[in-house]
Amino acid sequence: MAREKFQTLTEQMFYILLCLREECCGADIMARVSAMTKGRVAVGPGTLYNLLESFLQAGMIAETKVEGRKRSYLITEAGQKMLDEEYRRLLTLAADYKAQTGKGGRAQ
Amino acid sequence: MKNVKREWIPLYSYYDRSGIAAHLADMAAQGWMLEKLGAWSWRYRRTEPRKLRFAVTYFPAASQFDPAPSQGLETYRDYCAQAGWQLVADTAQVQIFCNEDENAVPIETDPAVEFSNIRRCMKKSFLTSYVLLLLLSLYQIGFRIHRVWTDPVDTLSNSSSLLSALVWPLLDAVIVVELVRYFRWQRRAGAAAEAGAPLPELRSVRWLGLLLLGWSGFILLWMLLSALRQSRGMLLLMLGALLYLGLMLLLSFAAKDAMKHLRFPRWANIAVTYGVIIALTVGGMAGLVALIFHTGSGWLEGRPPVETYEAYGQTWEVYQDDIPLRIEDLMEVDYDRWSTRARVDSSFLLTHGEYTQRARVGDPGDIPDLDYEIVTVKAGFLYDLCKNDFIAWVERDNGQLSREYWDEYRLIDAPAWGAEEVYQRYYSGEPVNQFLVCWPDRMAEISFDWDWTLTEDMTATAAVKLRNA
Repeated sequence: MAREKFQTLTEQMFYILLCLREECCGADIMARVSAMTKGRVAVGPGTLYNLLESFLQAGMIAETKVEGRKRSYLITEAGQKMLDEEYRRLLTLAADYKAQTGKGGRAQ
Repeated sequence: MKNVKREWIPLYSYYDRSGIAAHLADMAAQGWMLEKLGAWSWRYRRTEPRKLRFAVTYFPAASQFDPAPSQGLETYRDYCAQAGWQLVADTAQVQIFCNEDENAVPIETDPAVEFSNIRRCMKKSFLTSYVLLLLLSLYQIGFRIHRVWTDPVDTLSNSSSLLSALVWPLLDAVIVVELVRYFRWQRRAGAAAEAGAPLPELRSVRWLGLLLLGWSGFILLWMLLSALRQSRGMLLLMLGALLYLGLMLLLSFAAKDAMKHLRFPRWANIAVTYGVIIALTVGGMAGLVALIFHTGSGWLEGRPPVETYEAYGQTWEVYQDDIPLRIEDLMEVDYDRWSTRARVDSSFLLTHGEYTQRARVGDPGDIPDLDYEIVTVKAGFLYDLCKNDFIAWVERDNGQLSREYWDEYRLIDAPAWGAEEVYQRYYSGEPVNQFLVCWPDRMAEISFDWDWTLTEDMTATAAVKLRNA
């Protein structure tokens, strides 16, 4: 069984939602995520399509504009809440790491 | 120089993404670019040899009955195009893309999403069709076992029927192997997706497909040869049925494509296409029955009657087949307008002959008839099954009758038959002139006229003729 849906976000989910804090066309998200992460995270087109569909169904993003086949999306309150929760979860992880190792900054 | 070529029945499993992609990359490197995925063949067009990356993906919501790609599918393809992946060909849910950039971002980058997508697609197409085929095949096997159990003599003596039954167990084995492999892959892939690792590969077992194809071809050829041995009419009937099946498939595909072209909605296309298949199947069966009803079955048996005559407003057929035992062998009769029929089926397990000798309908006088069957058992373990078939047939209605009216075979002492066992038919407690005679590897069931008094000489003559036939 794969991880329960949206209990936590994968990197790709996280960055797609982060992109959609501004209205953005689906096809542009791949380039934006790549630019945002300096190429560290790549979202494949199939993965992007399926994640956008899942986010739409879960009410985490909303369709804002349809121009021919070009669709734009924006994060919803529920999506933003999920993004915030994930951010807090990551901060907690980082804080636990610091507390246990006494190290700050980037892990080696 | 040909610019188009086809690969017939490529034998790649629906789920073998890496195998198909590698094969298409090889073909592209040789200058053949995939152009169309058909039901029976893949079509390629000649191009400059190119080094390309191929990807096989699935779009669960797509259907072969869609009039055009849905908006969702168009969007999916647009995203792929944006990432450099160009659509090469598609069929139903399968979408094949290629990319010139060796380092392009793959179409699927999240194993969990990829796994969930593949599972949905497999559930909708591959698993559903395989489970349906498995059920159909199990029904066929069950039906044939039931036939062997309830009518062993007719079923086991027909070699075409026996051989055609052998295709189902192999098909079952192939389906079970495919399903087991898929579910084992699903378990491993689920674990990989959970861990965020790439999904394991699931490759086609091409030799299994080849085996099934070869076996089916062998059985088909064998059936055609058996039909030819039986009669030209039977061969023509089988070839006609194969041609009709081919035409039926072509017509249903053509109807589906025409409706797609005319933008019929998916549900209408499904309804009409399956309607065409059902109508053509029922129509074909009805046509065959009408043909046999209209022309008689003589042409099928390869033995047209030597003569026909009219009596009581009907046409009757006269045959003059050789039969091993004739009424004249048993008694003197002043009659020579007999019709004698012999129908013999033979397989590696049994030979079953049915013989009749009848006077013409309407001829005056009390002229006797003779009916008998001879079964030669080549596989000893089937002997009791065949014997019980004859006994059970006579006794089939006894469950609804009180004991005194039973119709049954009783073991009698009749040494003149020179047999291991002889049964005589008793109806309501009274003996009738029907016997089941059992020799070591042969049995015969014979009915004499009800008013004959069977002498030892007559019995001995019949025994020799039936035993040595």
